[in-house]
Amino acid sequence: MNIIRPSRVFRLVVRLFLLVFTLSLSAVGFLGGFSAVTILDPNSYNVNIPDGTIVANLNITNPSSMQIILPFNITNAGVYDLTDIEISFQVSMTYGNQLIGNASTTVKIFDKFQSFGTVAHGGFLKSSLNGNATDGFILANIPSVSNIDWERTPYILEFHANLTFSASYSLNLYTFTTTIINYSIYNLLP
Amino acid sequence: MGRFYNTTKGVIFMSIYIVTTMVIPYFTFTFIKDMQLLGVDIVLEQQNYERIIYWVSTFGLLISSCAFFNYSSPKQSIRKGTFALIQLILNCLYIWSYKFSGATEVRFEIVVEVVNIGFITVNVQSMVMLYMGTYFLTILLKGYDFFDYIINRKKIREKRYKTTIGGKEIS
Repeated sequence: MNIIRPSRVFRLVVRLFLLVFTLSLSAVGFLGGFSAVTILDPNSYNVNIPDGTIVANLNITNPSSMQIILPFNITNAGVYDLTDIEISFQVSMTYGNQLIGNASTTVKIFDKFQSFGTVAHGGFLKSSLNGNATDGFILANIPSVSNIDWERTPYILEFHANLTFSASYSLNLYTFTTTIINYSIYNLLP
Repeated sequence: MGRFYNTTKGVIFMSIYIVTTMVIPYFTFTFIKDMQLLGVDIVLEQQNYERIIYWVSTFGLLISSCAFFNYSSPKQSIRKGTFALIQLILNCLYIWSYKFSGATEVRFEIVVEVVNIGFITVNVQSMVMLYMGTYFLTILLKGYDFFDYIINRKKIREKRYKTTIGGKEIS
């Protein structure tokens, strides 16, 4: 009769545990990847930023009235929770600076970062990133009206935005970040 | 078990490792190099791609050759234990190479009409670290095997030579 040595039995048990652990990990990884593709399916429109029109009052002559509302809609069609959802939005303004011979100058006038927590699988998050003069806008960076070259061509003022959306998925095993840089949002004609 | 059986086993496992450590990652990264999402081109940065492929191929080759020696060695032999341990350490370096080659944080450029308007970053570092954890446990197991083969060498040899009488297996 073939008697298995106790050391081999111990080894077999540890090996079985490792096999189950690795297989579970691979299954979670595979499902996570497949699920992420489901969420990002171009035809499903699960992640919509912006979701509708961006409301933006960029009237620098009246800084206290400045406002930005960025609506968005995130639907989690996957099998895991979408966690650590964070959106950041920055707006920069380029203008002719009379103080330095009308040279083009770019300043950051808006910077807002917001966390939106978790969207459970099958759920959705319909919300907006809001900013106003006291929350988001950097009033100190907004130039005085008298320092702006109002004859600048082709545009007096150019507004560009940077948008970053990040989230974790599949039990936080995947983290993805999407960044749109220097996206033109508005140009003021002479 | 004959020499031919062991050699064939080694070749089969070497082929499996070539496919899993080199061919599949190569085609995966080549496939995701140029993608389209919502009509927008998403391109893996060329420098990133070349670095990932280089490290994956380097460690893939080493692991595959080690797999041949590991699986073609007799069962419970010190040679097998040694190659299994080397292969496992190479496996760890292979997994780790995903991190330092940039494959755990893959960066795609978003290109609209030839202009780069942003990027998408996918970070799978936590996943790789978790795999490293299981590899660490496997290293412990292989280390245990190695010492087991040395300590119980006499018993293993007795069992191995007892199984054949007149060239025929009785178990």
